[in-house]
Amino acid sequence: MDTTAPAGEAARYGSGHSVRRIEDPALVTGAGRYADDVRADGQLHLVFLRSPHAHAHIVSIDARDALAMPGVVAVHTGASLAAAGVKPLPVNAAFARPDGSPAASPPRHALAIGTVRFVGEAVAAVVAASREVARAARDAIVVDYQDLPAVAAIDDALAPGAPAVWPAAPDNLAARATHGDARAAADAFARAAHVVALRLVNQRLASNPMEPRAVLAQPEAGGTGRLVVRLSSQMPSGVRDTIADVLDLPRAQVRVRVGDVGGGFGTKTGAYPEDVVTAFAARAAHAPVRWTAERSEEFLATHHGRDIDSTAELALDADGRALALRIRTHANVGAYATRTGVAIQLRIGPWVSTSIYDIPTIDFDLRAVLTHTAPVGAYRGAGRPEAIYVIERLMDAAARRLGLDPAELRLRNMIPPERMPYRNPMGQVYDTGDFPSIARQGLALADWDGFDARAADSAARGRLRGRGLATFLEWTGGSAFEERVTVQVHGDGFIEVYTSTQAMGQGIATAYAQLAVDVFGVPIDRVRIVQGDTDRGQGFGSAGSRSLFTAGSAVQVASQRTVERAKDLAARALECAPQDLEYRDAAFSIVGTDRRVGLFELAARQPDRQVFVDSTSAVSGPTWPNGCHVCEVEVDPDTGVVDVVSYASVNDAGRVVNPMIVRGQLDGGAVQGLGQALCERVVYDRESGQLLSGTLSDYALPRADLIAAFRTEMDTSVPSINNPLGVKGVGELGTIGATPAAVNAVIDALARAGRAQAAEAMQMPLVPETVWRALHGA
Amino acid sequence: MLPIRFTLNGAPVSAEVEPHRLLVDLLREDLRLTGTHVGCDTSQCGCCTVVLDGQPAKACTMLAVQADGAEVTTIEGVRGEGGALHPIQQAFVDCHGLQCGFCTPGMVMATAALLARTPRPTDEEIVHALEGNLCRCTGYVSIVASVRRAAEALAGPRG
Amino acid sequence: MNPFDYHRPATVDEAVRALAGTVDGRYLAGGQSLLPTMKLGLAAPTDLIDLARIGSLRGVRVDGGVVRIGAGTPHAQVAAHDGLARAAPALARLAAGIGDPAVRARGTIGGSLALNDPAACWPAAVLGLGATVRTDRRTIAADDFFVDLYETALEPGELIVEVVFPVPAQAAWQKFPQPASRFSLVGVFVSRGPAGVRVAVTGAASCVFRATGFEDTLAAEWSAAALADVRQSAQALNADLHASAEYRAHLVGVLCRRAVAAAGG
Repeated sequence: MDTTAPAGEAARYGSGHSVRRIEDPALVTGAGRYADDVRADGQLHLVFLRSPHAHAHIVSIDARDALAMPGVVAVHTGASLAAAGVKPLPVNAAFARPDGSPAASPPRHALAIGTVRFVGEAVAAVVAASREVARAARDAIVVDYQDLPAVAAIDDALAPGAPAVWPAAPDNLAARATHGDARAAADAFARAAHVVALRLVNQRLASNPMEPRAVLAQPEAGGTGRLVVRLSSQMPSGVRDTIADVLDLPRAQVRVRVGDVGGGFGTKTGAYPEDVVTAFAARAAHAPVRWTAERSEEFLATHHGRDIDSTAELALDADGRALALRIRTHANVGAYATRTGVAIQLRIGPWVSTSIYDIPTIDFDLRAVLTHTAPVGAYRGAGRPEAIYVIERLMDAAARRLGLDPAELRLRNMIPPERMPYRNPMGQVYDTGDFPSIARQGLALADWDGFDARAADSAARGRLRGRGLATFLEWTGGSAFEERVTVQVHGDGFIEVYTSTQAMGQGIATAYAQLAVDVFGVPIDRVRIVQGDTDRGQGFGSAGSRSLFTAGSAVQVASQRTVERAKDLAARALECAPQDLEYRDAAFSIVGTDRRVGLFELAARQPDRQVFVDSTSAVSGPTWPNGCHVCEVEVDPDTGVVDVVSYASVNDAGRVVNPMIVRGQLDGGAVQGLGQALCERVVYDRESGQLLSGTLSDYALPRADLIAAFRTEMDTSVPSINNPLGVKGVGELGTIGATPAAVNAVIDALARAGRAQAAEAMQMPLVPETVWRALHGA
Repeated sequence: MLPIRFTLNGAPVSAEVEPHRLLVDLLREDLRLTGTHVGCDTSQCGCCTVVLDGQPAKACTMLAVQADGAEVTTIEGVRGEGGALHPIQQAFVDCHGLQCGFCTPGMVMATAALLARTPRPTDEEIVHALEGNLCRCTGYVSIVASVRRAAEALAGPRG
Repeated sequence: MNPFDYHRPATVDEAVRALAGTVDGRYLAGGQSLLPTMKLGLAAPTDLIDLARIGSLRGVRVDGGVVRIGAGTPHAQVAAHDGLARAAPALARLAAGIGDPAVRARGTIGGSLALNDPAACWPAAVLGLGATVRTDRRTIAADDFFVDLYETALEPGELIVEVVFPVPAQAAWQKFPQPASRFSLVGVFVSRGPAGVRVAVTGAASCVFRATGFEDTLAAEWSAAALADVRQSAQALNADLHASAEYRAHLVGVLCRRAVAAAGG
C-alpha cells in the first residue's frame, strides 16, 4: 500500500526540503539541557586526581588529610574500587600479535592500580559537597610515585630495549593485521613501470567538542536500587552495558539518560573510566554525584584520534593504471589498546584503502603500538580519513611522477559505474556509485581548468597558488544495521517517535520528523522525536554516520507499520474493510464517500488513547558515500602561511532528506579536516611523555577566519540500494575529503615553485614554518 | 560575602557572593540560568559570552563582584516580540548557524554586541567580532551568514 | 580559585594604601590575564585591589606631540579613539588586534605592561616608541621598564597610572599570531620620530627587546629595501611547539620589513 503522503505537509516539511530544525528553538534560546545543566537535590561533586607522570609505579596514596576536610565524603582509589569488586573496562579487539599471541593491552582499571601509564590517567577521585572543597581535598592527597622510563613516540616504543607498556607485549606491539597478497604485490611492483613511495604521518588529534564530558549519576528515586546515569554520550546503551558489567550489576539495574550533547565526533562513544567511577561513587554515597571535565581533562584523557605512521607505495603501469598498493603502518593506540582504537586502523580504515579505484592487488601490514600516551579511539572518520589520505597523497605523487593531470590519473583508475556492485580487495562490496560522474561534476564546479589564470593572479600579488584534489569514498554504518523504533500516535494530537540513535548536533531529530511527515502527512510540529533513554529502547547509538540510513529507515518502516495498524483500527471504527480506506492528510476515509476518521481522533478512541507500534527493522548493508573535493590555497612565500582561498565539492550522499543539514555536515566536517591539514596536533614531549598541547592556548582549533565560503553540491541521482531511504551517511565525508585536498593543494603550490620533493616530504599539520622550510630548504 | 546589585536581562538582581565566585558560576548555579555555557578553562572558547554594559564579556573570566552596578544580558534575555525568536536567533535558525548548540548562546551574544555597535558589519568585521568564539560543528561559514542575515533583519540590507 | 579579600578603592592613593596593607595582594585591572592565571592555580593572591572604579586611570588624550593613555583604559577604548587613530594609527591597530572582543572590552594597557608577558603586544609599542611609564611615585623610561620574563622595574605595590607615547613621524605594527593563543608568535613595532629609530620585538624572546641591528640600518636609511640583508640572530630566541628559534628570527626580519613598508619606508 502506498502510504507516502501526497501534497500538503510533506510538500513543504517532508524529506527533500531544507526544513528548519526542530532542535533549534530550544538551543538558540539557551534552553538546551546538556549534562552539566541538570541539577539533582543533594548532589555531590567529584573531581579526579590525575597522574603527572607518563609511566610510574604508584607506591602509596595518602588521603588522610583530604578525608579530614569538612565537606569531603569519600576518596576512591583503584585499590578501593577493586576491593569493592569493580572490574576493568573492556579493552582489546579480536586481533593477534605478530607472534600469534592474543592482542595485548594492560587491563584498563577505572582508577589506576599499581601503575600509571599516561600523563593524566585518573588515580583517585574525591567526592565532596562542592567542587571547591573537592579540589582543595584533591590538592591534599599525597601520592608517592616511582617514576619509570616512558615512551611516547612510535619509533621510541619500537626501539630495542624500549620500556614495555605491558609485559605481554615486550616489543610494544599490541596487535597486527595483514591483508592481501604480499607475493602478488611484490610481483606487481617488480614489473611496474612506475613506483611511487611516500612516508605519511597522520598526526594525533584532539576531538574537542565544545561541550566537555559530563556525568551525573544517582540512585533512582523510590529506593528501587537502580542507578540512573545522565551523561554526554553518543551511545547510551553501550555505556549502560559497560557500567553495569564493570560494576557487576544486572544491566536492567542501570538506566542511562542523555539530553542535549554538545558535539561528539566519535569521542563520546563507549564508556570512559570517569563514567564508571562517577557511577560507583553515587552508589557508594547513596546520593547524586556529578563530574564535569575541565578542558584540560579533555586534552589529557578523552580519547585522541588518528596517530599513524605509514610507508605507502603505489605500483603503476606505463599508462598510470595502478597495479598494486602496499602499505606498512604503525598505529599509536596509546597505553590501552581499546577495541575501537585497534579496529579502526587494522580493519575498518583498510576497508576503504583502495577507495574508488580499481586496484587489483594489495599488501597491508598494519601494527598497533602501545605507548605511554592517552588511548586513541574513534574521531570523525575513524580510520577512513587515514586510509583516504594515503591513497590520495599517492595519486597526486603518481600524477606528478608521470606528468599527468592529477584528475586525469584518477579518472583512469576509477571504478566505472557499470561495475557496481563492486567487490574491493578487502572484500567490501560497494552497492552503488558513479565516481567518474561525481569527479567530473566536482572539477567543473571548482573550475579546475581555469586554474592557471587564477594562479597568475595570485602570482601578481606575490602568492603561490596551488590546487588539490580528493576523489574518494567512505564506509558508513558501524556494522550495526538493525534499529528498533517505537511510534505512539496520541489522542492529544501528537506523534511521539522513539529511537536509540543519539543527537549530538547532526540534526537527526529533524530528519526523522521529516520522514514521519512523509508518511503521516501531519504538520511537523505534531511530531516529537525522543532519544536518550535506555528504559525506552536500546541500540547501537550514533557513530560511523549510521543514524539516518539505519534509524531513519527504521522510522520510515515503523511509521508505515503504524499507518497500517491505524488503518485496521479505522476500518473497525468505520465498519468497512481496510482495503476500502485511503489515508490522506492525517485522516482515513472510505474511498468515494465522506465518511472519515482523523488519525488523532482514532487514537483518542483507543483504550489507552493511543496507537502504539514497536517496530524493529534492518537495512541490508553499509552505505558508500563519496565525493570530489577541490581545494585551492595561496602560500605566502615569505612566511609559509597558507590561506584557503577556494573549496568546492560535489558529494554523493544518495537521496537527501534535508539539504541544509547535509551541507552543514559536509562544510563543518571539512573545517575539521582543514584543521588537521593546517593547524591541529597533539604533542607529547618525547622524553618525559608530558602533554605539551594541553590547552586551547597550545592546540590550535580553526576559527572563523579559516575559510570564507564553500561551494557544496550534492548529486542525489545515485541512491544507495542498501536501505529503503536510498540515503548515504554524510557525517564524516567532509572531514575525510578536506585533509588530502588541502594538503595536495599546498604541495602543488610548492611543486609549481620547483620544490616538489621537499613538499612531498612535509608532514601535517602544514603550519607556516613547515611550509617555509620546504619552500626554502631551511 | 559581599552584596552585589546589577541588572540582569532587564530586571534588578541582588546577591551575596564570595569575592572569588565567577560570574558564570553565579549565573549557572545560583541563578539557574544554564544557557551560558562553560567550554574551556583558559578563557578562549567564548561559550560563556554575555553582554555587559553593551560589550561582550566572558563570564568565566569575570568575578561576580565585577558585575556590581552593571547591566548584564544573557541568552535568556534575548527574545523577540510576543514570544517569537529575536531576529538574531531567527537568523541562526534560518542559516543553519548552529548544530550541537553549545557555542550558540555565546555566538548570539557576541553578535548582539557587534550589531549594537556596528549595525552593518562587513564580513571582515563579522569574522573579527567572532574571533573569540570557537565552534567545532559548523565550520563558521554558516555562522557568518547568520550574522549577516541578522544585520539585514535589524538594520536593512547593506548598500 | 582560592579565596581572597576584595577591595574597591576610589582613588589611586586608596589603591596603593590598600595594597600596602596586604600580605600578598595584587592589583586587578581588566583581569583578562590575572583571572585565568588564578583559575589555573598559578597565582593565589591574598587580596585583590580592583581598580575599576578609579576613573582617573581611564582615558586617552592626544596632547600636542604626545598620546597619553590611562593605565586602566581598555584596549577597545584605545582602538576606537578618533584622535589617537589620527595621531598614532599604529597604536590603534595594535590595540584592535589584542585578544578578541571580550578581552579588548576589559583588558588594559596597565595590566599588560605590569605583567610583561613575553608575547604581549603593548610592551612592543611602549619600547618601540620610547614611551614613558608614569606610576604613582615616579616615571620610568621604556628602555628601563622591561627587565626579564614577567619582570618589570616596578617596585612592590607600585601602580602604573598612565603611559605617555611621543607621537612618531612614522610608525607601524606587524603581528604574526601564534595560531592557538593568538598572542604574538613574533610582533614588531617600528618607529621613526624625534628620538630616532626604534625597532621593538615581542614574542620572540623571554622579554621584549630592541633589534639594534635593524635600528642602525634604518637610522641610516629608512626603507624596507635597506633591510634586505639584515638578519636577526636566532640565539636566545624562544623555541617551542609552535616555532623554532630560526623561524622566529626569520619572522623578525619579515615583519620588520613589512612594518617599515607600512610606515611609508
